[in-house]
Amino acid sequence: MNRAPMDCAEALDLLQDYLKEELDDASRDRLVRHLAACGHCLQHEHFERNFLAALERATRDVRCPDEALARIREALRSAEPG
Amino acid sequence: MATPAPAETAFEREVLPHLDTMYRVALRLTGNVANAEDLVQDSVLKAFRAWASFRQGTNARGWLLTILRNSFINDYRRRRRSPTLVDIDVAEPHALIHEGGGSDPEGEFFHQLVDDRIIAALDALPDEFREVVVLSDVEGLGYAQIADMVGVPVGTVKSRLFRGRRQLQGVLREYAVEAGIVRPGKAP
Repeated sequence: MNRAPMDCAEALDLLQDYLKEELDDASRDRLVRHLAACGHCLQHEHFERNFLAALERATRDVRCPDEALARIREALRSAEPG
Repeated sequence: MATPAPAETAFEREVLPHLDTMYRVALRLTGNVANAEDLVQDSVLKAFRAWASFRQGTNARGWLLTILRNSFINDYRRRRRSPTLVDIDVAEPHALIHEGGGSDPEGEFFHQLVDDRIIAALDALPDEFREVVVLSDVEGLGYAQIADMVGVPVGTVKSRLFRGRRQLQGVLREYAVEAGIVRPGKAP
């Protein structure tokens, strides 16, 4: 298992997978150690997290309108199952 | 005398909790409320007709979003004018240097942008990037599930997500510079 210190190039390459929580444990541990020691890469991490938080804030608070739900229920009542 | 509401069916119990997710994805795919509502309704009815093929206990959200995405491509995509990329999946190494935030390398400026600006920038992404960004970063789906849904390898999902985010960040950064929230410049 690779436990070697990580350089910035590898850290930035793995940052996306890390933020999506799709990194294997060993790589995650190495990346976390790198971020703790590297202000430059940590800035990148904060940049990405701020971006993702703003994107989520702008888009998540949308609900299917009640009228649309009512129409869908109505359509289902008259639909024949396959 | 009011007619009592009919009892909720097994289909409705399984599907209707995912309606908000379907609507959010539909809205970002179609770009407008009317088409999004139609797309969700069409997709629910298609799911209803295909209900026998749904395996109970499996991921209903993924099943529904796949139906919705296929409906969009077959019936709605041509209605939307969307920028096309010549080399959408051209191989490129994950670029190490991003545009950064100029005078704001940590990207605090993202929080000062109004929702409408962010949504407009998202809606202006090419379809192939936008759907991956929405499925991943708005709805929280993993690489493998998105790859299944879109019908491309996981590596392609990663690359589209990376490039879609970069493009979106670049546009939002321009907004922030125009609005005087950050000073231009490369960083960090």
